[in-house]
Amino acid sequence: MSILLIIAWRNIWRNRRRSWVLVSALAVGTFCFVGGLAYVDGFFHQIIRGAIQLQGGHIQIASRGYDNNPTIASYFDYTKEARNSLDAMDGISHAVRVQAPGMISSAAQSSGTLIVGVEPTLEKQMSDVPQSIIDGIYLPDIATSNLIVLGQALAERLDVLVGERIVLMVNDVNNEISATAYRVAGIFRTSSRAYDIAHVFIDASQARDLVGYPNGTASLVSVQLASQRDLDASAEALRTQLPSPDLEVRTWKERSPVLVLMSDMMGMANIILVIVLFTAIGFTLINSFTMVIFERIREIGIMAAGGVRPPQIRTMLYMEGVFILMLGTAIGSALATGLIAWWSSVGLDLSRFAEGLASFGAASVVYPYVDWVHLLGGYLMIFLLVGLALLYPSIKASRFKIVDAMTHV
Amino acid sequence: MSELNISNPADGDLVHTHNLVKVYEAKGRLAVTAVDGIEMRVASGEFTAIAGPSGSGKTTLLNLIGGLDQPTSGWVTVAGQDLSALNRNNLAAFRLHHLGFIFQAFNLIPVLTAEENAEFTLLLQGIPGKERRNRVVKELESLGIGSDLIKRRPHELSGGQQQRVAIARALVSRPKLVLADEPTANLDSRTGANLLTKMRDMNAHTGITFLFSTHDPMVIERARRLITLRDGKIVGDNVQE
Repeated sequence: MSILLIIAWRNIWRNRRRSWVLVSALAVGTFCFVGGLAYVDGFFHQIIRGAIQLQGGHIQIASRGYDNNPTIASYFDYTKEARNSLDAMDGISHAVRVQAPGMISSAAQSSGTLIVGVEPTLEKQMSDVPQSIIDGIYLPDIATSNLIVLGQALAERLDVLVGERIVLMVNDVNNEISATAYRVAGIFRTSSRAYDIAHVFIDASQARDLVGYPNGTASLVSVQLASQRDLDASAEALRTQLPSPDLEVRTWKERSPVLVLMSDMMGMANIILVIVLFTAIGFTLINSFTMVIFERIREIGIMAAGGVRPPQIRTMLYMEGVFILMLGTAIGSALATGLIAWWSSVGLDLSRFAEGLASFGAASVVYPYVDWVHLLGGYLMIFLLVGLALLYPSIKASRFKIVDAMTHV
Repeated sequence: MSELNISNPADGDLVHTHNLVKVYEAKGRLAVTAVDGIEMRVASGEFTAIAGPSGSGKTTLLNLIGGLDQPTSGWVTVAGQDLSALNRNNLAAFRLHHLGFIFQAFNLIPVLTAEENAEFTLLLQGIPGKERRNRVVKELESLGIGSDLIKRRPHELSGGQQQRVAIARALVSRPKLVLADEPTANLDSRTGANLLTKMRDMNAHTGITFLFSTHDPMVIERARRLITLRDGKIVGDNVQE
């Protein structure tokens, strides 16, 4: 077999221009596939990460039906025992959220918002918001006065600065209007302008006072996992740990089935992209390799006369194709890696489409991300398509009549 | 090779053809009978030439004996094996282990060096590296291809040198039968005579059977047996001194 490998390798370089055209076609195809994959996966990775980080976490524990109808009346008693049982679980972090829709008003403007009461100490380990402060500070670990953190876009809309006062107003749990004044402790800016406008953060104990919840209650408990792979197992463990019929444990996939569907569809779109790209390239390969075998028909005849079996002739031609494929995919992958590295540092600025992207919960700057499963699936598809493209010429080569091949001019 | 039924025929014939016919048919043309009912036996160790004018069926007969082409009717056995009973894979394996070919146009593989061309058959047979290398170098040296030439590609060799390499490739695996189709046609008479002497020596020392198709008088003179073809039929079969 080794001599056939040597012949296959050397045959590639007999017509360098043609080989480099094929290598280039495969390199461009691979570059487009990997680059496109990094963009699409990056786009959805950011949406999903945003949904997880900024909203309910990987897993959310809340009153049954809270997701579909998050009214102020939906809260539950988050007992010390429940908190302790979550503390005992490995690979998770968790924090209470007290949430209520309300109105935020400055001296100049008012705006509707979701008021989120958080445990600042725990929140710093779970959310991107504490790391996204661009002016002032995040909420202190122990609340000594009424402080609030809000997004830059909302601060601009309300025309408030750090240190200035705003008023939060809600319809409390008793259906009474409740209002409290807060001083702006800090202003944050996440990758999603829509999120920044729609959320404000105060201490959870102050949120309970504002909406009229008793101490030790919560709208939801947000759970973050060390690894996304543990999602289903951890959710199942939590359901076992918290067997209350009033509580519901839901993963982000269960809360956002549309995201899951879109992600799956984009995974399929990647495969379709590969099929379209490499079917076109495959026809180039069929054409070139058919030319190759007719150019070398005499040599193939000589080899067959010398005792090379038809499967060995097919293998030899396949090896030529594989060498060209490996060169092409290696070059294309290297170029795509360079693009992704550069893109990772600068991001792809889609701010002109920010409004539309926000409706998906997507950030206006997309950073590439490569899902290894998608990548491997794509490469397997490339190898499969190239393999299919080589099938016809290699079968053709192995079926020549030896005498005709050897006398071919 | 266990799937092949190779045996030494009781009558000592290495090659036996029976009522061998090959008709070439092309669309819109008259059928041409290249080989017409040939009955022939070649014993092991012979040095035989098949002669005849152009179009007499020499090359076709050699191709049928070598399993490179299928007869229209009749059969060929080589070393007791009916070639028509073998599929393409087994036929290739049979050629690899039992036959050697020498062609008029040398037919070396252009991307391989002289040494690699000569060891091609042994590589396919899976002969271990050291033994393979020793046999190839010895064979090439005996044919006058020294260490200065063995790393050269075919296009860097003269016609005579290329034919020497082709002969080395055919003989190095010690096949039962070597089929040589006009081996001297593209060589000058001195080189041709030299190579014929080498092949005859090889025949004498190793017992390898040589079957030539030729119309070169030099080959005809050196053959111990001369079969003459005309219009696809044997018209003469003489043992020569």
